[in-house]
Amino acid sequence: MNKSFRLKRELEYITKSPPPGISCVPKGDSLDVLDASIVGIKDTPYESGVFKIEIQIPEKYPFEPPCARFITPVYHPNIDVAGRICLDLLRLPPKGTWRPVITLSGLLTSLQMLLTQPNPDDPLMTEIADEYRFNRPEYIRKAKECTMKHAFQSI
Amino acid sequence: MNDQLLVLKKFPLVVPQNRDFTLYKGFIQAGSEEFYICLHVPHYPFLNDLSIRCSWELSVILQGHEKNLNEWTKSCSSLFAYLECLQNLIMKCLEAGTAASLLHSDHHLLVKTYKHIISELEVLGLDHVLHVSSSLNEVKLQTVDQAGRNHILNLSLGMNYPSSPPVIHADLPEQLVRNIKTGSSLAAIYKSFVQQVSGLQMFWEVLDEVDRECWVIDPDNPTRKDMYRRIVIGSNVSIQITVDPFNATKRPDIKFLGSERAIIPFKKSLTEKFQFWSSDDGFIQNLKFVLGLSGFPAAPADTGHPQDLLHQGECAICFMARLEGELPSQACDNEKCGMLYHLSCLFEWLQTLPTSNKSFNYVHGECPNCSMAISCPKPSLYEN
Repeated sequence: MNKSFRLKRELEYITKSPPPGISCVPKGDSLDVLDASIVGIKDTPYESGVFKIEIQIPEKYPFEPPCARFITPVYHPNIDVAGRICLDLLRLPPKGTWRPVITLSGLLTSLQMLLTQPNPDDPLMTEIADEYRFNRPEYIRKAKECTMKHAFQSI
Repeated sequence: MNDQLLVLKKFPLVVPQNRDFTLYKGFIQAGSEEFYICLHVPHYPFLNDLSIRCSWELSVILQGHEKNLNEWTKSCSSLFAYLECLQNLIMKCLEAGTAASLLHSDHHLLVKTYKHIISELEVLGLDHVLHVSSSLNEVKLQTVDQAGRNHILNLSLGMNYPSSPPVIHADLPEQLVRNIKTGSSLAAIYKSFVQQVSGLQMFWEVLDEVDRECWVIDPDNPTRKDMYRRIVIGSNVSIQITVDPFNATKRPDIKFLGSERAIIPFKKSLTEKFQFWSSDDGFIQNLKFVLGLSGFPAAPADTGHPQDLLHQGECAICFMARLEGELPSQACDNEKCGMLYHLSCLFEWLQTLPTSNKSFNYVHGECPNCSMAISCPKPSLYEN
């Protein structure tokens, strides 16, 4: 198994034909830590925000899932204040659904989808999940505020 | 033959077409109406496998009675009896009146709609019409703008046109499609469309310039409706610009994507110079200026066809064809999946999972791609 061969191929692919609003590049010289960003999708509270994500590639990748963490603060039921993400794709079976055919490009697209469609039934932030369920306007207002404060690139 | 005589007496217009009496064509009368029918009775005098073709009007009347028609082929002892049943059914349906009135009003309405659409197309001028579907419910109109770009307007006309407006599809930015007035007539819609197109000339000029001068990585094949472009500006760094269709030459929205380190110098330059963006200069020239670039990186020659992530014949886990000399030897049996794996890659994955089943020298689990059952022998079996 040659981990770096696969990683190089994946990064080259993301660079040349990235999914809309997604980028992923090595943080430093090694391929073990990656800098990714996703642009919030239109008509969501995260619209126009650029969200930084740090991805750590484990030694046994792709037999183990990458470890992803939001660097940009996000107001979201499934993302906690430290940027940890609750997504079944990021965990090994039987608890999660990671499989070695999932690519970085697919993973980042899923994270973009998670922003659009929170899963309040499996929350990390129970208060935000309740707000999302029972007081949607308030959730939208706070999520927008957080996006404006942290995810807008100021010039 | 008794049956034939009876048929001839009561249904003189249902005429046998051959000596075996297996095919009949003609008209069946019901009250004051006559309907064309064609009967095929392949095993005459037996009625099994009997089939009827009839005029469109009769088929509408008989709709929902297919079961009866089918049962009679078994219960009726002769063709004459069958025709009598059929005639009675038609009479009953006509008396109930619903089918017939529905039929006539629909008919009338359709003809009126068609006439209306055709007259509107004539007013519009047929040289603008690119295509009309045979049922007149899809119309494609075309215009060529000042710079020679072709634009197509797709209209879906419903059954209730013109009382309900057509659905509009056009390759323009979304908000401009919404601006097209669906109001009065096809000619008015077309005029409104041409107006929107002519208002977008500067917008497309800017984006055409960007597509010419820069390495655009997203969208893959930009269309006229796309307002954004993702452009490579350096190694590991790209920007996504969004051009305002109403004010294309002003500074676009710019988002940086890529490694933090690589972004810093560009961001710094933009912060210093963004206020000097001048709508009088060219868009690309402005963009180079505010980013502090002397030129944009050109697209590498081989990106003409975006390569697939996984090529033919490669292992879906390690992405290599040859792993220590071995080719992928394990394939998923699911036809729709058919993924290939190296023995060692698949084995390592399956045995990582507590859900996989180990028995003797095999491990049984699920295909990592499609989740169908897959088995894999222990790689050591193949050593030496």
